[in-house]
Amino acid sequence: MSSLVAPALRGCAFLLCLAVVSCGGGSDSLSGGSGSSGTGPVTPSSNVVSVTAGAGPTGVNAINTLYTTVTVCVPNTQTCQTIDNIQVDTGSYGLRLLSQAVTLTLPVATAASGGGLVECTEFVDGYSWGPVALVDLQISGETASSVPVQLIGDTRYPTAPSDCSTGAPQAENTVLSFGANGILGIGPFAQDCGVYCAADIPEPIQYYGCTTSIECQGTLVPVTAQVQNPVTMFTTDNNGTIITLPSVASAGATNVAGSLIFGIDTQSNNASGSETVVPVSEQGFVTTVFNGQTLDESFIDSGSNATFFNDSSLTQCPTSGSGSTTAISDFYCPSSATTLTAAFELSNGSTASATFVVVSPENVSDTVTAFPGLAGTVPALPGATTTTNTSFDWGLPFFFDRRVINAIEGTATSAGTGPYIAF
Amino acid sequence: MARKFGWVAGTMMIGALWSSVASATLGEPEASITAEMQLNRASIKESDHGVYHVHEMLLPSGTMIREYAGLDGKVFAVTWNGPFIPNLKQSLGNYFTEFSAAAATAHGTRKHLEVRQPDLVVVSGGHMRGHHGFAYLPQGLPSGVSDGDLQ
Repeated sequence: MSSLVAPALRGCAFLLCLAVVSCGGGSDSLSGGSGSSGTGPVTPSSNVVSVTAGAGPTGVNAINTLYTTVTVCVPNTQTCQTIDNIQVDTGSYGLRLLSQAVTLTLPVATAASGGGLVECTEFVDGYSWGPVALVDLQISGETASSVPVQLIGDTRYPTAPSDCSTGAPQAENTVLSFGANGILGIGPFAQDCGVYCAADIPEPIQYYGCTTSIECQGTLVPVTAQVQNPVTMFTTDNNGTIITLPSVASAGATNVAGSLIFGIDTQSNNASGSETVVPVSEQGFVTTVFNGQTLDESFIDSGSNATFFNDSSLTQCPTSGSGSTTAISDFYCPSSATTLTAAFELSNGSTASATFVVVSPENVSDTVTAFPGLAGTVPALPGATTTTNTSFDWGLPFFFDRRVINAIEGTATSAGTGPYIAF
Repeated sequence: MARKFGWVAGTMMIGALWSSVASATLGEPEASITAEMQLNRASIKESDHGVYHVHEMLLPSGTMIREYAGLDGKVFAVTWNGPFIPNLKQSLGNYFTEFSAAAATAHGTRKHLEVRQPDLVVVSGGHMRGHHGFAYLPQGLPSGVSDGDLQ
């Protein structure tokens, strides 16, 4: 049986890792399909970057975690660095780099209140602290200038204010605790906060102005100075993204390759219009109907590494061994592969169904980095007779054998105006 | 948006009123007005459910915090949902230290943040710009209310 560990959980990421002892090797076969509706990698192009469900940085041993490569430069220079193992996350917004992985000295943005602009990013299971830095960004042939990104764990601002740890107390400021060299948040919103942080300071504080390395106070941040979904700042192909991943056999596969396509209806390889369009709430939620329950805090999220939902008829994995490396009891371990169906509520009142499979991870190979049957529970308050569920988290397994569109808020496409997710 | 983690089982809404009565933190008397609520300029709505009271606080950020207090006046549960995780140090009060210590252990073993101790349960989930969670004191539930009534 594989031992499992779960290092960090990002903005949206429900992360679980297999203890992989080796990586590399085979990949899954591509599924069929033709033209723009096919799944799996597409023909290389200036608006396409390769993505891989791989093991991640050394020691991370990720499963169902999508990584890509970006190039960042000191603004207005040719001083650049290419950084791999950047997680692709449709459940957050903005590019964040772990300072450990960055060799460049990047300029820190100036806060409206004076001093350096530094961010406390509250993720579900921990927080990341670091300044907003400006970079010129290149991903494949797409470029953007002076993009505000977060530089997590930057030693210029070594100490997070105590307020920063009041949402989730654990720091995630290193590559190992974060599980990646950075994260590329490309969900359907343009900033990580939006208009609220331009008008008011939330509590706990998200953005700080730091007049010294340790003296920081909350600050308002104009929308365009917040950490930006970098796609919106590309000179072209800037209205959204499409992720295509191949089908993966239920036994899992190693280093499954796909494509991240920039733009919607801007090139011959990113046409929309034939997909099922799922509306997204202002908090990024979709509504999933499952087992007769309407779950309106559901989300479709490449940064979650399994399908997370509650179904009391499924057998949960045994609580085996002790310590963090064997904690899989929150996952499902059905005796045989189980295919289930849920549905998305659409804006016209109808629903669109989606099937998914649940497979026990107990006997998965240690080399596997993509495992479509991985599924587990979500938080729900226990009831005397029933459990009140509000959420269904469609993680990376949803993306296998699909072409998933994230249209950014306020942008027009053939399939509709963002924000929406379509497949 | 829909209310989450509301309490419905075996309760009757006697009345609801917008009130200047602010709220307290987990395990503390509801009569104690927290500085947090004043600082956060929260709108507060109080309702009586028989064996407990609910204080709903809508923060300016859009995050809703609900605090549940028994007839003894002590807060025994807190739930939240909205675009920002609330300041759990404020909401959990003296239990934040225990939560932090347990979260450090839970970190690395859970896909979401979940702390389940004999005297404290805290679960936090969601994603950037959309969070939800709850905390309660299993041994602090008023007589006649069990965690089975948590809906």
